[in-house]
Amino acid sequence: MKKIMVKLGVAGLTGCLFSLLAVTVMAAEAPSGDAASKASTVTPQFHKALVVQRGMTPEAAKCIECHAKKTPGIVESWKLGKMAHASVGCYDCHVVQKSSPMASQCSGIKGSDIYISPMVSSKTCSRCHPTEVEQFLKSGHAMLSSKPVVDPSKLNGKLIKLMYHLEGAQFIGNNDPGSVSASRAAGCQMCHGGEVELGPDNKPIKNTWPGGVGQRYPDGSVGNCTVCHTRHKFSVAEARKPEACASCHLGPDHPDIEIYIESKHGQVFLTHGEDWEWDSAPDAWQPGDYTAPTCATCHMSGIGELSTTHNINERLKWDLMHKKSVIRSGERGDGEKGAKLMRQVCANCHGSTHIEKERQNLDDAVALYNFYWDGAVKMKKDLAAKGLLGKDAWSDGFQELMYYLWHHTGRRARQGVAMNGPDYAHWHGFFQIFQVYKDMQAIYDWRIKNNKIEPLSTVMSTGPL
Amino acid sequence: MNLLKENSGAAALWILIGFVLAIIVSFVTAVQVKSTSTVQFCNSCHEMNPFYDTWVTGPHGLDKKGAIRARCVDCHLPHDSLMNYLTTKTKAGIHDAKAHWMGKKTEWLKQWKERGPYVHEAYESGCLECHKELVAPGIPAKAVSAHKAYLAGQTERNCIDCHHMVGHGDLVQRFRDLGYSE
Repeated sequence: MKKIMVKLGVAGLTGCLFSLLAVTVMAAEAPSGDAASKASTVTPQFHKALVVQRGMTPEAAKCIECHAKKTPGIVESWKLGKMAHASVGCYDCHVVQKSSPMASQCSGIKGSDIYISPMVSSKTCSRCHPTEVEQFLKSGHAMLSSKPVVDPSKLNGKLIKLMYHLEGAQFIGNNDPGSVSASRAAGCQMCHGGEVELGPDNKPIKNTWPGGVGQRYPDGSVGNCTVCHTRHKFSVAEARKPEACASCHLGPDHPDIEIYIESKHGQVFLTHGEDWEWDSAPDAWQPGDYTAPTCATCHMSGIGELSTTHNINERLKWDLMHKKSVIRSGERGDGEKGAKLMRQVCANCHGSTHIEKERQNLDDAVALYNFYWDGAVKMKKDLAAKGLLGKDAWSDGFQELMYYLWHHTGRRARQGVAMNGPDYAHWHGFFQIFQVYKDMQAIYDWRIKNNKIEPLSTVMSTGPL
Repeated sequence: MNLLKENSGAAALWILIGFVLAIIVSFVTAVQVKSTSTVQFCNSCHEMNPFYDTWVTGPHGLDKKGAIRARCVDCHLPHDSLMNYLTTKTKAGIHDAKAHWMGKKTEWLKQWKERGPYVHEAYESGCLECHKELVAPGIPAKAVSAHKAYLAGQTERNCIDCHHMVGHGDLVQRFRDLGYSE
């Protein structure tokens, strides 16, 4: 019995050896195993002679030929841009598959198996620009931007109410759906973005398209790159100019372009900008190409050792938009890291003493604003506890002023200091903050003394301009 | 040792038996791995019919003249190592056979809706097994820039993220046409 066991053992061992051999045989069927290592070590080999096909497929060429007649403005703009130079045509960005929720057909392709969408989101751009879109999607320009317009849970629906009930005049009986949403479509949505609604033909309805930077699309994608790189030239030079930011970052609540223009940076831009080099390659656009920064230079561009980023939160320390300024964290960025990065930006053109002064000045201004804000909150809590706050904030002088305190003058002061605009830091900023505060104080004192709310709002205008 | 000496003739016989057995087992296994790798084998279960039909007309399928055809196993099994290939093949085979015999019906559209239509088990290592050189002579200019970030390792996106129609065309539309509920 023992003998047989040993013999079987030997036979088994030999069998195992042969199984290994068999695996080698199977290797002919199975993979060579070098694919994975290739995936991680492949590097661009652009030194090779490339035979590049500059032409387009017949379908792609047909789009251009037809649209050159029907919408010449689009094609004329496109042909001057880098997309055209790279042979990226209408077809490449506008074609979607039939099952896409946005699939439709223009008259030129009716009846064919080609489907297109007029809506092109950041998801399409990411096919060739994945890094830029990944950064962008982490920034306040994406989901956070359209949140106030589309999310009823934001501020307990106060913003939705503002768009339709108040601005849309529902509060005085307007029930025409078109005019109720007119302000949202032309105002809020054009900067913040909204949510596209589709009709039965998969085309956008109810003025929900086009929209601003945080636009949300029916296929779940988010973000509109053409806000800064406008259609159909998609120019990098354009996005580097302050005008690209100015279409949204302006006005009484965040006059960033005005602040920039009155800053020393803006002065140099206005004086010498025409002579600057605007079209250098990303990361290679450096001091020398320009003699003062634009918005993009500090907030986005590659400068010195820093690489280009499409996450505009990345180099920010403070949240200068909301009621109380705090160091950015969570979905709004990493303020401590942001402060270091911004100092790195400054250091390309400024010495450490100058940088220290500016950064300290901003910290001090934030502390000053927060001091005012904390005082206002204390008064409001006091009034609320005594039942001396009006139910409708928009016809209650105290609450109306409190809104202007943070949303208008407070932002002007903080952002004015941050970007070196003296007029906005002072006259449109802290000078008005103390005035607004004193008016709030007067209303507070009157209500406490008389134990009632004044019969008419004392704030009759649209607020301090 | 003594044992072997005493019976050296018999031992040689047993070794020979072992050899023959191993050759037979190895041969049968290799043949089975090969025979279960054909498109026809995969499509022998009716559940795979829509995938077969869409593959036939797709960019890697039989209907495309002049195209290099990729079989199911070329994309849906990992090609990074032999061990991984064989274990994944075994696991997936058992999973699919079980689902078939138990008569499980997959609501593909619902499943894709929950996890996004293009998240599926096509392996990047499969693509790269054939497409070894992405920036190859003759490609369009736009394809050079489109693959730049991928080649430089600056993105986590893989082939299927952009080329999701490459295996089965508009698969979502096909299941809609077949009346699958969403």
